Amino acid sequence: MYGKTITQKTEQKASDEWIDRYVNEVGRRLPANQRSDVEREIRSLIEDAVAGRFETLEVEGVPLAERETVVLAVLQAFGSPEEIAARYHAPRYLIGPTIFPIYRIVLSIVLAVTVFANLLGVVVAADEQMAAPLVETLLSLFGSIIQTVGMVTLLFVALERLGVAAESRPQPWNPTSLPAVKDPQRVNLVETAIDIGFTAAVIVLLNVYLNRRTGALFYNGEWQTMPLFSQEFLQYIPWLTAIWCADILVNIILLTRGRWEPFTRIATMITATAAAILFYSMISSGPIGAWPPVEPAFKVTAAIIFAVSLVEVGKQGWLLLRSSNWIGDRLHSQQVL
Amino acid sequence: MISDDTSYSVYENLASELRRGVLVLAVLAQCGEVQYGYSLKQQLAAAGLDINEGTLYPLLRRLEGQGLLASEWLVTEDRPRRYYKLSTTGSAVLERLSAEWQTLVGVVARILPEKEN
Repeated sequence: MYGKTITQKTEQKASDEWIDRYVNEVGRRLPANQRSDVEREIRSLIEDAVAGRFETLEVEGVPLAERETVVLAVLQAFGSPEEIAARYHAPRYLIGPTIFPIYRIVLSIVLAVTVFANLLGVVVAADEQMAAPLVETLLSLFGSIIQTVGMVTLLFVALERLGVAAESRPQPWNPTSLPAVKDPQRVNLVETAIDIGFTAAVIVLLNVYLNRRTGALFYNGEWQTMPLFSQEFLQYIPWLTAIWCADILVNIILLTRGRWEPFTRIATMITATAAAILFYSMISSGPIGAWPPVEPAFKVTAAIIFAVSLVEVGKQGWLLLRSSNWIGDRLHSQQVL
Repeated sequence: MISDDTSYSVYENLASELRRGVLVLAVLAQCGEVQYGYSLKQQLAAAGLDINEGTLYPLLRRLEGQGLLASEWLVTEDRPRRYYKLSTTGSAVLERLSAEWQTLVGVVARILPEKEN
């Protein structure tokens, strides 16, 4: 009698150990705010199922199995802790599908800016004869990229955790809004992100470095340090900065919308026209560079930018007209005829 | 050529999906009276719907989270158990789901013989 009680207690302890293990494995896969409640419920359900199996065995006249065997059979029926925990708790994303496209866009822009800023640093250091060895420069660039990816990812993980994505509602969809397979209005995301990074780098270069630094020149038989740009050109810098900031803004809108729309085409035409006017004024007025020998190169560069801006105005104007219904209808009627 | 094993596995998956679809209706219908997890499983099994524990118990919590069931801990037979009962919202949803089910049964019944013919 005494021996049997000891055996039963040992067996109870062994079977409870399996239940403890199971409940613990499920619980550690659940968020802290649900854990204790679900653990308590699962334990209660397992106990019920074990008691139920013993009752069934008794009713069916089957010789009673050891409690440990029954507990293991019940746990088997409940399924693996991973499976049951996943069913108690809806899957959570590090960065959910709602904000993932925005994450990719922001990451592309920030990465492009980081790479250009690093390359800019290399150019400036080389100019000041303080260039670091190539391996060190590449390691620094690699470190910056890793840091940038980490920071942006952490920011979006925080947004996901704060439930920012959950607040956004899907927009009503209309099948007539489907873009054509070869859609001229579709924005090239990578190209636009690189454009933003490049423009940002030029703004920084012009305002932080070239605005006040000097360049070295072998002039009149000796090396001389002189300002790179003329006083006349320096007056253009705030205007150029304003135009390029507007350009970045338009590109950010393009990235978020994903397609060219009339207002983004008109905005691009306005910034390109402003740039063309500014560069025409530079070419036709006083010197751009501070040193006469470099003036032709500067004037040619300004003329190229002027021409590119004019082409951009024309291109956007043509694409705007082509995308309008009037031109589309005319082209269509000609094809029909 | 699809093997018998593949065909059986496809059938199993589809049948399981079909059962999962009606499980919510069956659970809500049974929770008109106070139920704890194990008693509910037994009742469903007795009615012919044998549902795996790993599917049924998390479903109860999900339905409670959606406000269709209400629950409380009670000690019965010296054991603490979580008891579930249909909430007011749950009753209204059950009524509509039941009507939807009746319609579906009618629709599928009309479709199936056509396919057989």
